[in-house]
Amino acid sequence: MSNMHRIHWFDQRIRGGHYPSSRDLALQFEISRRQAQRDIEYLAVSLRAPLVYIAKHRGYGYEDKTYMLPHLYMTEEEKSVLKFLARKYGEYSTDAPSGVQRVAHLLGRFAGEEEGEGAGRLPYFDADPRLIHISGQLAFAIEQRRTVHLHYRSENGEFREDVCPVRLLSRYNADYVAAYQEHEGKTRLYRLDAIESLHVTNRMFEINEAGDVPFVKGRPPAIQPFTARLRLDRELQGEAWHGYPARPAGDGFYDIDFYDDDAFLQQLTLGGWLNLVSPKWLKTKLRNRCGQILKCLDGEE
Amino acid sequence: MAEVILRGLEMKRESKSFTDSLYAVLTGAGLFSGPKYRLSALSGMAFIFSVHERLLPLSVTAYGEWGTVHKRAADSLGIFTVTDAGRTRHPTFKKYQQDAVKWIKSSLDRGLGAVYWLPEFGVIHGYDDADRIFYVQDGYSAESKIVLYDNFGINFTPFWYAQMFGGKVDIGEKDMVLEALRMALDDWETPHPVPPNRSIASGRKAYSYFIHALEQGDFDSFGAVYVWDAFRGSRTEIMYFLQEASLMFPGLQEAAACYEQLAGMMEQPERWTVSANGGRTLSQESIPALIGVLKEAEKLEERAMGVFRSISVQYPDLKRSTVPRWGLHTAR
Repeated sequence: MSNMHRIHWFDQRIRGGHYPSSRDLALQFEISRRQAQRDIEYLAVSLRAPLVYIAKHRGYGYEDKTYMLPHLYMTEEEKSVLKFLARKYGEYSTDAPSGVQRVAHLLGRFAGEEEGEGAGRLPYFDADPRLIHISGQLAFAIEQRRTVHLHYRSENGEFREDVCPVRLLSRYNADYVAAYQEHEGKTRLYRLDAIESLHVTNRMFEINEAGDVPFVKGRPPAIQPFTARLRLDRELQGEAWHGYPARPAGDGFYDIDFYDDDAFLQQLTLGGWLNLVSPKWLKTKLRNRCGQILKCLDGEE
Repeated sequence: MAEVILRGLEMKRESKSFTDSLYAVLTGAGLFSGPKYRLSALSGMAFIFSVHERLLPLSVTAYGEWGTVHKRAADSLGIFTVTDAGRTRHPTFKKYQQDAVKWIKSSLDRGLGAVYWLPEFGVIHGYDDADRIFYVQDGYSAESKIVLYDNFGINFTPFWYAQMFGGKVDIGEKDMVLEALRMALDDWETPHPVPPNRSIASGRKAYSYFIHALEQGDFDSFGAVYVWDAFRGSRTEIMYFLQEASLMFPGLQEAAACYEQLAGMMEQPERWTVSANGGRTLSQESIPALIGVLKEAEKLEERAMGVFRSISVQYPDLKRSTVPRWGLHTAR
């Protein structure tokens, strides 16, 4: 569940001059003090609220009373679209893991999902309203452990059956639901775009009935990043250089991981480094690009 | 630390990605000389026409078991080839990956590039052991793509593919042309190239899938343009090839005339597509005319196949007619 409703409450308390504390927040929402403190940090750091702790009142106030919480209203429909996309991005597993993971995580946070997992260069997904609707119904059925009556169209013809949905997943830009077939006693995948209609019944199924989902095993190996060794113009504070994971390699040198060579080359053109030691191919590419820019500058191209 | 970059090997996207890759590797190594349309037809690649029922872009490369089709392509040219491929999710993938890195490097050491599934197909034209990378051309960009040895084979599709080439034996020109005609007939008569999957059709059946998708309006807009472009390109290649081959087999003139008529119907590329969202889509107004062209094209190709058949039966075809005493499948 999203923490935004708690932050709204906290904001209202401050505006009402009640000087709320993490203890008040924890008591109000029956959460731990630590969780309450994280919410307050989120308000201060991510939402840039000018929070100040006032010891006299043992609570928080705003240093600048003109501060407004960002506009956070979202319709249920927008939320369901974001949930759908968060799941799609989260299950996309190919090049450049960190980028897609960040998007999945971000969308998940907006949609009120606590978790997002995945990998890859930012891909494009179709947000088909019908698929989103079906996906929403199935997500509900999975959560509630409800049996679903499917009308399904496949290459072998159309059929109707009751299945127990276990998990939603995306493969090769198509969406599937893994569901347990009661009459066959096994789990299979159904494409969401081949579902003509579905009806969530009131019948519940047992968790162990669906068992394990065998096809989630055997994921392809994760793609490895390129690593550049750079001498930076100043010592790094933290473990990242402009968002790229960096590890010290001694004498002011750092090993920096990246997936997208174009984006990294662009970063290199912005400076902030003194020496590029390796890899050789990156040096060549950078030299070629700089050569092209010089040619343009000299009006040769 | 060894480093090899093959100079004079340049891949350009003009035909199917495999044909472009094959052409770049073979011409770069001096194993083939001549225009691309000739290689495309003699390898059987030009005749391949496969269509997904929703005209997905994968139609253009989903023309069968690559190992079989691409080995056939090299065999018909008399060129030694080795392919390897598999699923990246298989637990043994890493072992195959390490092995493939070795044999591709040895191929590059001998001055021969390797075909590699990016996707689509591209050419590995160099390596650098210090950085542990391959240089790959995709045919679109002048700048090479870089693939780490550790990432070899990993892409957004679930499979990997690589192919290398070796020595060459001379096959008579007439025999090569005959084999090309026979490969064309094989593809024309094969309804589904990747059984048991029936969502992709090839040859004669591909026309009905293409026409059906256009009539229903249920198709991938990018894929439709891609399939159409590939179709136009390959039919033009066949036309040029048959014009040449009819000097050897005068009977082919009739077939060449069919493809000239077919290519003529598809002229003016701008007539069929419109620009949209930074790309191209089939123009809605042109779809009825396009369906008409496809129906006519099917008839013309059927007639051309009749000509191929009549020429093929005049010569012995040991490859297809010999049934060994141990049956079609040898024990091994």
